[in-house]
Amino acid sequence: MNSNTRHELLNLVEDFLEGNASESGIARLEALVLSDQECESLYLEVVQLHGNLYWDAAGCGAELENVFSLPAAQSSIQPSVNRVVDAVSWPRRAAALLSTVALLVVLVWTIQSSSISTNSDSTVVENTSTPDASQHRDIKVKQNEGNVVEVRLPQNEALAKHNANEKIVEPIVSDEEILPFDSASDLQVVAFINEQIQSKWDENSVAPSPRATESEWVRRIHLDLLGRIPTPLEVESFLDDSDASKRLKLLDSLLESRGFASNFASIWTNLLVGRSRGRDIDREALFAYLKGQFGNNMPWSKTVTDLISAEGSADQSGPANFLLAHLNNEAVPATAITARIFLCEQIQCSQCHRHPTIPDWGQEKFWEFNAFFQRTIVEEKMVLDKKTGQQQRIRQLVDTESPKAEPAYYEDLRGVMKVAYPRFADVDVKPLPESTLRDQLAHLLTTGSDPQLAQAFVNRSWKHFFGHAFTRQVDDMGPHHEFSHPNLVDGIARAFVKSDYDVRRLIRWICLSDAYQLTSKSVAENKFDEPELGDLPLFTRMYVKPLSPEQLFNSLLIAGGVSTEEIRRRGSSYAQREEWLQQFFVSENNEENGEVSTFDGSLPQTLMMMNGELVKRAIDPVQGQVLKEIVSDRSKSEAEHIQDLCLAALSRRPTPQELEAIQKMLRNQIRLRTSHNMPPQLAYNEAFGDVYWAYLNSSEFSVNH
Amino acid sequence: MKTSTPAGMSRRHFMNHLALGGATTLGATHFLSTLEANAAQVSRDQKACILVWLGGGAPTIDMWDLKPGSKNGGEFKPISTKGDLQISEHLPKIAQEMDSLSVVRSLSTREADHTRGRYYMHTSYVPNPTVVHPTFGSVASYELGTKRKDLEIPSFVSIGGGSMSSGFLGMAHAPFVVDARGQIQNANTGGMNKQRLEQRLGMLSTIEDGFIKSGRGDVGQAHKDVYKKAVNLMVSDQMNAFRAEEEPAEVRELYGSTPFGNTLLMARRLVETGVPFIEVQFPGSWDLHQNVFNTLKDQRLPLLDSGISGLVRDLKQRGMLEHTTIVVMGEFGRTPRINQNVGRDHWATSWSALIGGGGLQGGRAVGETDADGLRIVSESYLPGDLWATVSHALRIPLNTVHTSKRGRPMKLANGGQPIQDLIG
Repeated sequence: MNSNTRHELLNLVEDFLEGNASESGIARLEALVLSDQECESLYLEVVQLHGNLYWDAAGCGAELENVFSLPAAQSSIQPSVNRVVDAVSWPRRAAALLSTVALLVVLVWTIQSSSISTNSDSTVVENTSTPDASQHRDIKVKQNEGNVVEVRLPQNEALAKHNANEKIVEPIVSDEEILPFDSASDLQVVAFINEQIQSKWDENSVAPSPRATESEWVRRIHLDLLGRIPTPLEVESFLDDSDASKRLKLLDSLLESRGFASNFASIWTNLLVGRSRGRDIDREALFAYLKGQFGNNMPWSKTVTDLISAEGSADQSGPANFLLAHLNNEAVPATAITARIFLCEQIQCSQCHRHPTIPDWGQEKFWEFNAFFQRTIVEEKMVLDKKTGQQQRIRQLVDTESPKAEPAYYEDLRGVMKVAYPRFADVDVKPLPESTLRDQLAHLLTTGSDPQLAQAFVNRSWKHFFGHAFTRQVDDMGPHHEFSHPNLVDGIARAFVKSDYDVRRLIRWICLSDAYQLTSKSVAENKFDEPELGDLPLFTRMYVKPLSPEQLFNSLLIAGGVSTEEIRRRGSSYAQREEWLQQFFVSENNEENGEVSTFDGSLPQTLMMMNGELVKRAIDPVQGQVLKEIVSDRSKSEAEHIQDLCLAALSRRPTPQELEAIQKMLRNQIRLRTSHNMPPQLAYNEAFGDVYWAYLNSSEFSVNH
Repeated sequence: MKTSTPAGMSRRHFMNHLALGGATTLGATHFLSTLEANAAQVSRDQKACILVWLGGGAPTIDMWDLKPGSKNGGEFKPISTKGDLQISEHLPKIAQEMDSLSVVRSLSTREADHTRGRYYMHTSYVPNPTVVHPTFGSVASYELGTKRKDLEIPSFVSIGGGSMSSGFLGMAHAPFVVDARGQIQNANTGGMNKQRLEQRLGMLSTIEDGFIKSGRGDVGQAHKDVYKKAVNLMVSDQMNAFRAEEEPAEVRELYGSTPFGNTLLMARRLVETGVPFIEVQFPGSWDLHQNVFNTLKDQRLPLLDSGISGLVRDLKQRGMLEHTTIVVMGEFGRTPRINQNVGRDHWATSWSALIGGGGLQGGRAVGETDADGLRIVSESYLPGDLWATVSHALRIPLNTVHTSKRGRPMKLANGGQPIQDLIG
């Protein structure tokens, strides 16, 4: 099934389910579903999801397994770790659902229809399959007899064709299974990545774009690893290097640099505690801790362990700041954010309702995870600051000593109070004298050969370098989301675990892959690989990534001639950056510690680029060191000055047409200024400032491509 | 201080006046004549909507749909209003304006997670990983803003924080976010003459064209469109609409003289200028898992009460209420049951929104919940129905269809239908 068919099918199914399908649409749907087994599976999957969502919305989700007597649902009651769902049960389950869905479509349609009447001429369908449910809830769905929509579904012969032995869900592979490559060899891992990406290209009949030019690549790798554009000197020395393996050389030297540690620490500080201020934590302590971790290339599992199990005060214990920021509101944010950041799972939805298709994603999953944080409290102490002589309030994380496990309390869908005890991945946990609940959670997260922690980190890292993850949303690897390259994620994640969560090696694999070397220009053979539009990515080219606020800020400093050392040390310009960032981020008005950004390419960002201080300084012939040096180099011609400015802003030389056009406009402007009696040198410098303004304001500057 | 720019006055001239006359106050007659002048400026067919967003999800059971006598009823008593319904005793000023406002009491919106609920209530669509739906403000901007040729400033403004994305309608219809004081950073060119700005833009355009043609998606084109808007904004006198502080003290007092009141006042000024959609973020969280009654009584409700009542009265006085629809809601309501921390949790099954103005029926309670507030016992409504009602008031045809980037048709307000009791 290609991507167009997929879209067509999804649209048709949706029209059908919403009751909007035309006769020809239904006929087309039927033809599609019967034509191909993949279409058939997709159709069933969507119909099932849809039915369950409406069922859930009608308030019946809690009784899902009782209503349908699903074999899969029952497994949630058994303490089984087996995730294998045999296809034998599938047609039965689907058939049951199809008929139910057909009914639901009618019901929902009727409920939504504004012409519904509540008088006695309508039949009343009452949910009687779960007697105890109807006691608690008064579910009455009214149906107008005259309004029954005729629903024609592609029938059972399609289902019968389904191969009964086919596994719907991949079985869990045993720990001993050998990877198809030697993970100790970087070359072999990279070859594996290339092979997997290539096979998806072949499958979808697309071809990759050509290799990126050296200037495209040098800008890209600097932005990705150091969070800033390269300086003109860095660009030139890379372009001049004739070594065939210069990309590898540069990659390794950047990975070893302190700029890398600082950039990744900054990225992870933002992920862990957000950008907006107002949380009572010590961001700097967290940043310093993370910088040490990335700088010393500590295993990711170790860092996660620290962040989850840290104790102590905000200023003394860097990693403690993660939970200090999120233990408010019964640790609901801590629960949701830990799962989202480290496992790429959105479990906060299951806080209130059951997952529509995955039986073991119920409310208890959320609250059992939440229970790991229930014995941890935030204590406030007054401490004498020796420097100022003032009493200062310090917050610290403390685990309470009570030997009794403190459960999490929650209200289930029927409004009944329930308790949940700490439990993760089917392991129940009791507090021990020598290890807290959080210690044990960290242990559970980081053990095994294929923990989700590793997959999540691989998914997130891939997104960092390619602009798109293997899932449509990087943070949502939940059971209902497909991976674009399931084998690839699995393979890299296992290699990552075998390398003892070696972060730099993982990055090395990604950046050495063929896909990372490609240009961002599309070619005819891959035009339709557009993850922006909702497709799963095929990585046929480098996707264009908008610069993050930090990348943009740092790059504007580089463009203004601020030293890379100054940027990395977070000196005076750092305080300026923090203040600058606040104009783009606002905390959300809720207890889930989210924030809203206006740094999205819309007007505030545009105005900042057009008139803001940073650009103003960079294009000032006196303050802007880069501009000043370029235009004062008398040994170079006017055209060379333009070329140098282009290189400083975009890490490339201008095209001949571009150069010619710019030069013409530049001359006009100099002439205009001198005709107004401006001294020639000043006119020249100012006009070049305007050229630089145009380069810095280009969309090419504000993206990484 | 002056209240607005009289017609025919240049920006520079106006600024000089400000500098010279900053300390003078206006007499009452002068104030009134300015009022009339302003009202005359608002062209009769310029419809607008002000959405007041109660971020975090407001306990509407304590505000618009009280349940006296139920165990879920909480601490507040209902009071009578000028309309045909009762509301909370802590909203006495709004009660006096309820002949102009109605409450929809039977919203059932199924999304009880902040992010998902925010998305659903703003767009009428549930989140879908394959497409980003536009928030309704962007729809209004797309449908109405583009037709208002005299409008130089963005046609969708969000005051005091972000709204949602413009999705497939593009960056040109994204909310223009300003802080609660209406300060717009970097909008000043610092005295640069127009010619120089044009030269810069000319060179930028040369560089952009190369990138747009390079086959790297639509980043370049979107960038170009936004720059055009930014330039408009930098040179426009209409930016004055953001200066609520220029209103006379009497008017600011009407809105409660609070920062929230000022944002509503700014919204009114934007409506006068021709902006079709303004979203105002209520300052402070309604996510009241704890201590709900004290927080409402002492903080949230008095602020809301003075602000909204002031807005309605001011619009009415100026003859603008007929053209301006007001919607007050958040991402969901809160649980009828009161939790162990004297709070209420997330609840999307049965809750209320306030809506009025724009020619809609006032003084009505539409829909009904049961005695405990747990279930809807009448017809229930979705966000699409609310926005379809607003579309009706804004005269946006209900059969409007937008097309996603993938070429997929998307119905206005997700095919919702106007609420008959409000438009009848």
